[in-house]
Parts: sequence; C-alpha cells; structure tokens
Amino acid sequence: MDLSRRLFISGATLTLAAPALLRHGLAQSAPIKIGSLTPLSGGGGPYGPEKAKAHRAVVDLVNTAGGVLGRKVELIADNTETNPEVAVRAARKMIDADRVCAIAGTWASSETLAIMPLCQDANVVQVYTGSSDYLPNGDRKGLCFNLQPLNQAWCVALADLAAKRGFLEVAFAGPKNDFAASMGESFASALRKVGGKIVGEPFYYNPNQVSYRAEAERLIATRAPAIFIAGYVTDFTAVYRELVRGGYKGKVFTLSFAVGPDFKKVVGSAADGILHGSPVPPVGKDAYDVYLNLVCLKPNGQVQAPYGCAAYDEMNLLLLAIEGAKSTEGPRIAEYIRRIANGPGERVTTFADGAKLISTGKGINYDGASSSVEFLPNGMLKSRDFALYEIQKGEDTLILTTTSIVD
Amino acid sequence: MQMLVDALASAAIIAPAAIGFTLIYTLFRYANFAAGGFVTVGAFAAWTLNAFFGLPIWLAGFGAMAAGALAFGLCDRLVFRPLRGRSGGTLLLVSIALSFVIENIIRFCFGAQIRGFDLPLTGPIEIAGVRVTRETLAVVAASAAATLSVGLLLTATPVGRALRAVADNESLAQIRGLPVPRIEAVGVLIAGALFGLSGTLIGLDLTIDPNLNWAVTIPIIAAAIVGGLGSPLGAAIGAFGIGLAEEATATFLTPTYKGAVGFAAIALVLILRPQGLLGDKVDRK
Repeated sequence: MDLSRRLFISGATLTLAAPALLRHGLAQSAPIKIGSLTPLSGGGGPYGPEKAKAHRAVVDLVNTAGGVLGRKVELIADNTETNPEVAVRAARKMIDADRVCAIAGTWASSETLAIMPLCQDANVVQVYTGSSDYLPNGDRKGLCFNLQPLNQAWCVALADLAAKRGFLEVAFAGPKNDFAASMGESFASALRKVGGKIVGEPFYYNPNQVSYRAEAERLIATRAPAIFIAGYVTDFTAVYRELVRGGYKGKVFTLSFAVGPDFKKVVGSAADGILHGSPVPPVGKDAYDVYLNLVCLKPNGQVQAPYGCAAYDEMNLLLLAIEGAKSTEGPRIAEYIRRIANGPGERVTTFADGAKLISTGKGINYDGASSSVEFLPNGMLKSRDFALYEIQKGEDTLILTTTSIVD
Repeated sequence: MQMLVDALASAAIIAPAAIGFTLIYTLFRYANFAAGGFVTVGAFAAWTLNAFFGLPIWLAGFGAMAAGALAFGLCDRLVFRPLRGRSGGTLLLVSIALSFVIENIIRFCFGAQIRGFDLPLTGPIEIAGVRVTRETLAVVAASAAATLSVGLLLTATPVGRALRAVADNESLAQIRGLPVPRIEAVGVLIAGALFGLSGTLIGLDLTIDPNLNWAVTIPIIAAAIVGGLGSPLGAAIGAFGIGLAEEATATFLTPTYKGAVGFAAIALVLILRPQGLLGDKVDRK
C-alpha cells in the first residue's frame, strides 16, 4: 500500500488522539469514587462505625440496582481517628491518589475544617455532620453540606434547660478544639439571653492526657453550681470521674454523644443526674425506619444510630445529586444537592425512588432519615429535632424535644 | 498540698513503666517507644480479667503484669532479638513501628470503644483538708511497692547483680560465665511486667481505649530521661517531677500547655544535665 500524505496525516492524528479518546471513554465507564471518612476510633469512635456502615449499605444497595449513571460506585473508606491531622492525610490520599469527587462522613468539626481547604482547592464536595459555628466560614465555593445543626441551636436548648432548673451560673469546660471553642462562645451567649452567666473564663484542656486531676480541681475551685462540659466520650469520662473523685456536688451538663452506653458502663450509677442533649432523628418517620431496616436494626420507638441515619442521608444526597447532575464535577454535584434537598419536587426518601423520577425528568425533594434535609444558602441545615435528657438509674429519661429552626 | 498529692498520684501511674523503660535502655541501649503499647496491653488484660471474668482488681493487676511480661517477651523474641547489635536509632524506629502494630492489634481484638474496670466510682476521703480517693491510695501503694521491689531485686539478689553486670559490660559478663541471653530474658520479663502494672494503674484513673498508647508514651520517656536513663530510682523520681510539673502547669498556667511539659523537661535535662538526675555520666570514646 502506498502511503499518501493524506493517509499519513490522518493516521498520525488518529494515533495521537487515541489516548485522549480512550481516557474519555474509560472515564465514562470507570467507577464513581466517593470518600467515606469517618472516626472509627478516638472521641468519635462510638459513632464512626455506624456512619461507615450506613455509607456502605447505601452504596451496596445502589450498586446492586445498577449503580449511578450506569457506573458502579466505589467507596474509598478511611479512619480519621477523630484527629484532624490524620483526617488531612486520609483526605489528601483520597483526593490525589483515588480521585474522589466527594468526601462524606467527617464527624468532629475539627476534622471537617482541617480537610476543607484541600477539598475546596480540588472542587471536592464535603457532606458531613458537625456543629462548630465556624464551619460555614471556610466554604468559599459552596461545596459543603452539614447534616447537623450548629452549636448556636444546641446551646439555646441547653441554656434554656439550665435556666429552667435554676442554674444561672454555669462553668464551661471542653477540649481545646474548634467545636468546644465555638460551643463555649455560643453557650455563654445563650446563657446571657436567659439571664445567666458563665462562671470565670471558659476552660479548655488537652484531650489524650494521662491525668485530668488538675483540670477537675480548677473546675471545682470555681464553686460553680453547675458545669457544662462539651467533651467527647474519651475526655469527658476522665474529667467526670475526677470531678466525682474530687467531691464535686453540682450539676453536670453535657452533650449526648459523650454519655452513651460506653460512658454509663464505665461510671455506673455515678452517671445519674447528668443532663444532656443532642440532635435526634425523627423517631417513627418512614425514612428513619427504612434506614434502620437497611442496617438491620428494628424500629423500636427509641433513638438508635443517631449519626448513622445522617450518614445514610449524606450518601443518598450525593448519589442522587450525581445522578441528577449527570456529572462528577464538584460544583455541579453541589448545585444538584441544593436542588434535590430543598425542592421543589416530589418527596422521595430513597435513592431508587429519586433516580426513577430523575430519569423521567421530574423534580424531587429528598426527605431524609435524620431530618427533612433542607439547607440554608451556606449549606447548613435549616432545622432538626433536638432532645434533652436526664440520666436516671442508668437510663436516659427524656425531658423534652424541640425542633431547632434557623432563619 | 493538694497539688503534691495529685502529682504523686500521676507519678505513681507512670513510674513502673518508666522503670521498665530505663531497664530496657540499660540492657540493650535503645529507647523503646513501644512502651506505651505494652502499657495498653496491660490495661486491656486487666480489664478482661476484672470486667469480663469478674476477678478482683488486685488479681487482675497481677494477671496484667503476666500479660505484659508475655507480650513484651514475645515481641523481644520475634522483633528485637534478631536485631541485637543494631544501632539504637534503628531499634527506636522499629519500636515505633511495633507500637502501631500493637495498637492496631488491640483495636482489632477489642474495638475502639472506651472501657473501665468494674469498680464503683466514689467520692474522696478528706485528710487534713486534702482530698484523696481510695483508688489513689491503692495506686500509690502498688507503685511504691513495685519500685522498691525492683530496687531490691537489682541490688540485693544474684539475678539483680547479674542484670547489672550484663548491663555494664555484656562481653565481660559472658567471659565470666554468666548466661547472658537468659539474664536478658529476665530483664525483658521484668520490664514487661512493669508495663503491665502501669496499664492496670492507668485503667484505674483513665478510660481504657487503644489510644492510651500515645497518651502515656511521652510522659514515660520524659520521666526516664529526667530521672537518668539506667537508674530505676531516678525513673521514679523523674515520674514525680514530670507529674508535679504537669499539675503545676494546669493549676497556675493554662492546662493546654500541659502536653508540652514532657517535651520541655526532656529538652531542659538534655541541655543542663544530660545524664539526668540520678544517671551516671557516660563518656563516649
């Protein structure tokens, strides 16, 4: 065969273009990669596994039904150890090596804030549960979505409870991190609004210490009739033990995730009298029951897996948004998360129902297992149910439930 | 006075492990950063025996010492003995890697949840205006007994003399007919038992979880360095010094600086008195 100039140029062009065409073709059939970055150990250790399990359950269900955009979803899972430095290393690997389009599951605000600059630079969407009031500040591109209300909402409920119980002078303590710092400010402000005040300065300590005796001594020395400790279960348990051993007789307020079953087992009857609160899933709602059944838990009218249900919503939102946007580009996914969460459209509670409607071109409004999942323009949640409890005879006794709404 | 009692309680927890650390350094000339890992093994062993099998805490403590000795003996046989003669830096890096392995084995076996001994949480007894708990008294007594026992063992028994001879000059000890590997094994088992004891004492004070590992490692090493590497009594005194410095930092300054105390103590001792409080000066040739 004679090699004409025209044939040579055409052949050479095709040869040079082939890798790009192949790459494009392969990208359209390659799995969609999503990061599941949860605290499987450390302060968030009691709750990370339920988040990881919910992510996996949703992805397995979706893959069994054919995936998203006809592609399999690949979950890249890692452990933050409830440590921002570890979270950054894991996120760096997910973004640079695995090329994820979104990272879901971070639990401590410090982890979420630590990985935020990396995600913003790489246009990676973040869907998480966190409550530091500083969380919206780092989201320059509108890529972040929070399934938990901010500290301001928690503190209004807790300060109201303190005032109702007659505790208008409350000392504040917490580990030195973004979450506790923000909680300290918000609680002081909420307490002032109900006529109370923080005793002394908010008191911060290092987590992961060998001893908390001196910290407990300083808190006891304030002579405050009540102390609000915004800690995680690991440090809260140690500080609380030292308060009891130091002879503190006042009231202790804290957050529900610090006084779960592990805490009660460790301190026994000394847990009685602690007042605590946290956002709770809407018990009895169909979407919550669907989630519980998916992770093999029986709906029993009680709060179960309070962070797992939020993780279920995180993954459903992400996958529905990718399906709707027909893209794995971060800004497109973020745009569709807003559209899907806030509507307008037909109410859906699962990926399967939502994907079916999306394929027919109809609008949807995702109603979640943890809340109605409506976002403010800054990606923070509009409202969520909140419950306050008192530990009595080793059990959480419900005092009241409220719905926190942010305008 | 309250601060001194609190410092003593903190020191009592880390003193046995600091003595174990210094014993290993004296015998093999390397800093074992896996000390915190073996302390965590001891804490989980004591928890298993106390909370799971229902044994009284003192018996669980002895079990934890046995578990610590067994775990450290096994690791020494599998990891450190094949590397005998390598530089201290190599062994230090190996011990850091081993520490991660131990932490993850514990996490795999026990999960990441916090645990506590099956003991009631009670208030303090007040003696002359100083608050002290029954646990603190027990912790200080156990720690003091362990420190004295090791001191007696090293100074007043043939095994102790042999240990010191091997630590002083291994070749000479071998020429004199001492069974060096067996004596080294005894030293390893004693150090492991001390790590196990510290694990039990820490469990009385803190919650037991796999992250204990790194929370205790720096205070243990700081106590051993401050006291003088190679001196068991120095390690105990170093532990008290570190405990006192930490309590004073949390009381008079801000508690967030407490974590830096161990590092600051190491830096100061290395600058001002490199051999530590009771350590012997070593001239390198």
